[in-house]
Amino acid sequence: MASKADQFKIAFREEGREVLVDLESALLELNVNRGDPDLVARVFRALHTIKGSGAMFGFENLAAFTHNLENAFDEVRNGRLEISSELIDLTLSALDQIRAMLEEGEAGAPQADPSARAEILAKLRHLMGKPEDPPAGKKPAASNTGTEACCEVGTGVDSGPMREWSIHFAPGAEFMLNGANPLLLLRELGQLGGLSVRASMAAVPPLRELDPERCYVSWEMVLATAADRDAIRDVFIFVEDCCDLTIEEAASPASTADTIPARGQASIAAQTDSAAASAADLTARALEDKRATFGGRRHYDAPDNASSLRVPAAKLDHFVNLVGELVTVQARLSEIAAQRDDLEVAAVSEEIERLTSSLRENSMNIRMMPIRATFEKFRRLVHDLARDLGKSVELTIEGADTELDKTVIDQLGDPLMHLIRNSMDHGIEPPDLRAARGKRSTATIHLSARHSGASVLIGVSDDGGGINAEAVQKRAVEQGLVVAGAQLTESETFALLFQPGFSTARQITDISGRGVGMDVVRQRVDSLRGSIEVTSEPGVGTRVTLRLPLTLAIIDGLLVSIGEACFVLPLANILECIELTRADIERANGKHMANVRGEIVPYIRLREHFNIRTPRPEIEQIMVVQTEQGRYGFVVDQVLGNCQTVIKNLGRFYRHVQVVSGATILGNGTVALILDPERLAQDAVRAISHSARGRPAGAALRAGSSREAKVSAQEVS
Amino acid sequence: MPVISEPVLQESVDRCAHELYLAWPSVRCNDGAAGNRLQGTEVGITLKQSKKSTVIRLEGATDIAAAAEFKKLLLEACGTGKNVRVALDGATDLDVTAVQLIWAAKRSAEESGVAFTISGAVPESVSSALTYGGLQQFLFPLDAS
Repeated sequence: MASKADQFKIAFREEGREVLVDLESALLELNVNRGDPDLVARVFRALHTIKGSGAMFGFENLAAFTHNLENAFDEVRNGRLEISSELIDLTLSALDQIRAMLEEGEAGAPQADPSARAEILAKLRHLMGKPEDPPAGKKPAASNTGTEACCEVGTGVDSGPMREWSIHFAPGAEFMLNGANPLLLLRELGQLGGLSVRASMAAVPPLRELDPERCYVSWEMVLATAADRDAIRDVFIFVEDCCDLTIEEAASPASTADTIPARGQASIAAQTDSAAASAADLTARALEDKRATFGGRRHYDAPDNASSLRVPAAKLDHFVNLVGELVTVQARLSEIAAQRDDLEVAAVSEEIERLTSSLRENSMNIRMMPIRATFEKFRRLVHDLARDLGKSVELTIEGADTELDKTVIDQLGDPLMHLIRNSMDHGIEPPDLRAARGKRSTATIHLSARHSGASVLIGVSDDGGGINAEAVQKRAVEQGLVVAGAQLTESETFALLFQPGFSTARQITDISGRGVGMDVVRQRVDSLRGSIEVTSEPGVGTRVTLRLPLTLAIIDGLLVSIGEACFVLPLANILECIELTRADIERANGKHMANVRGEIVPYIRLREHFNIRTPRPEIEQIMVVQTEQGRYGFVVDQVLGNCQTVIKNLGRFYRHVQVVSGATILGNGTVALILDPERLAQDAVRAISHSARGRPAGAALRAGSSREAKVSAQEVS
Repeated sequence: MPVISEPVLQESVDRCAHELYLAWPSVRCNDGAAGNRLQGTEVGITLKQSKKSTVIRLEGATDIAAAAEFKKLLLEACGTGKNVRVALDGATDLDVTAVQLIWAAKRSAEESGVAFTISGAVPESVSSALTYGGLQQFLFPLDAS
């Protein structure tokens, strides 16, 4: 029982957090489009939801505090209060307090500060032109003890056209056990407008059979309000999963009569009509009839009520791990089945392979989430930083619906934050400098996400001053990261930015300049097996692109062999496989070029690249892969076939081996390395270009390839 | 949904259990005495039998936490064959579970020919919550005492 109530509080916190995120982004949008009534309504609704549900689940302080904000936005909605930067900033700080109150008691949560709340409320009253205590009938604004929240009626009534809604509400078996109280919900509903309620006891069994902790009562209501369906649904937002709820607009008298036959005589009032018990029974019977018509099936009214489920991330991770184990075992089974000449075993094995494959795909899809929430939360960061720095900056977002693995999303927040802070502080020029350069006074930071093969590209770009490559090199020489006079390419120079402790900032500010942020970005991206690419044009802007794998768990791979060793290439990158014979090599005069239907594709012989000294077969295979740099071929001895690859991380010692993105265990128990075609191509290109112009001595760049780093280190010693 | 570590979860479960324990003790006594009281809390359901009737007195909040106990006492009261009276004078809160229990008890008492009455006025807060929920009529039209 206790844990149920607790679970419900946890669920409220979860959903409350989501509402707060939405509220925050609505507020920030409102700051830009101040006249948008939809945004005002969105803010108001979010506040209303937090207030009502907060009171319901015992967060009285939170509800009382939010109530005052709701009042302020009610004034805005009615045109009595104008939206100002001050109001937005005040509401944003209030939001932080609400968040703190929501998390109060959680481990590591920020402490809620009653004095800060009182201050916010005092400022709010001042803004609303009510410096003294609110008039009678309203609650004292700064009620920090806040024991009586949200019992006021009438603030939620819209001034739009009135409509009537028929609402059927029947709590489910677990409803009360979850800590919800239907009476509080009805009170909350009453705040939206005139409510007529009929409770039905028809489902209450005889006393002996009655489960005392279950709610058998159901309600038929008619609500006259200007609020829309969403606002009504919001009242039930936290209990929707455990009740039968129907909200229908009582458009015509006929349909209304169909819903509540006894409503003809009912007057619409904020008070419940106190009809006799017999009338209630009549309603109850009507309700039973209605149920019978629907064949006893409960019906939900809107498609947005589709059955979606909240599952704790830990359960999902466990599930995916189990699927991973299953995939490995299935590979063993397939291996064994292939060795035995038994058709029945082979058939079962194939069936299991098919099922495992679809199970794997499904489980991976479950973990995919759009990156929207992560992106949206930076609106606030940009808004606050712009204010602190005295710059005008706009955040634009592209591809927010791009989906990627939850684990990747979870770890993306920090690096993006550091990149944005860096852009805001160092990239974007102060307004006077922008004006002098003839740029728009409002700078732009653009966040983007898009898929590219088995990777996702996350971009952070700004239209600031760009990176001064010379200054970076100079600073790197000062810090002893490169030797003086080293010839670095642009990408090598920018890679220096991600070295620990590296900063070109002359002044350390609160926001950045300590040289920690970019190192964090690199470490996090490394741990996600991703890569960073920086492009910058002086005076025009900088773009940082993070290339991250779509998933960290299981991928479709192509198993290939070179000599005794097996490797896996991600299938998503592979375009085709073609044969490479000695005749082909002779035709190309020994150059590493293949002719693929008239197109010249350069290839890399992995045997040579990895220094494998077994004899070369007569016929080799070229895997043609698509990379960001174009098409490349990787030459292997043999293609063994498709395999579902459960990615295992390499040990810490091999963290900097960048051409290998992980390892996997094959059906026969051997280990195969998973190659990263992108890095492999970059590595090969860099090796070729370096051998052509001679390597810069001592330029041991960690962000570069491991091979190169090793060679350079040897050269130095 | 964030991952909540086991100890944190356990701690918050324990805390919540403790709060519930303090808030909703349901105390029973048969002799009409004050009953067992937890420190500083004035809640409980007591059953008192006289020669003619059985009186169940509700004090403090009678809600889901007390529902099982309330049902037991109602069954016991209805089983005595004497008139049953539920006294609400001391009740500070009644939730849906309490109302449906009283309703069901009233029905079964009537079926077995036992008089079932409800006495005492509930505080304004309770009566307004019941009114909002349309439940008032199920309790007070029955009030014959």
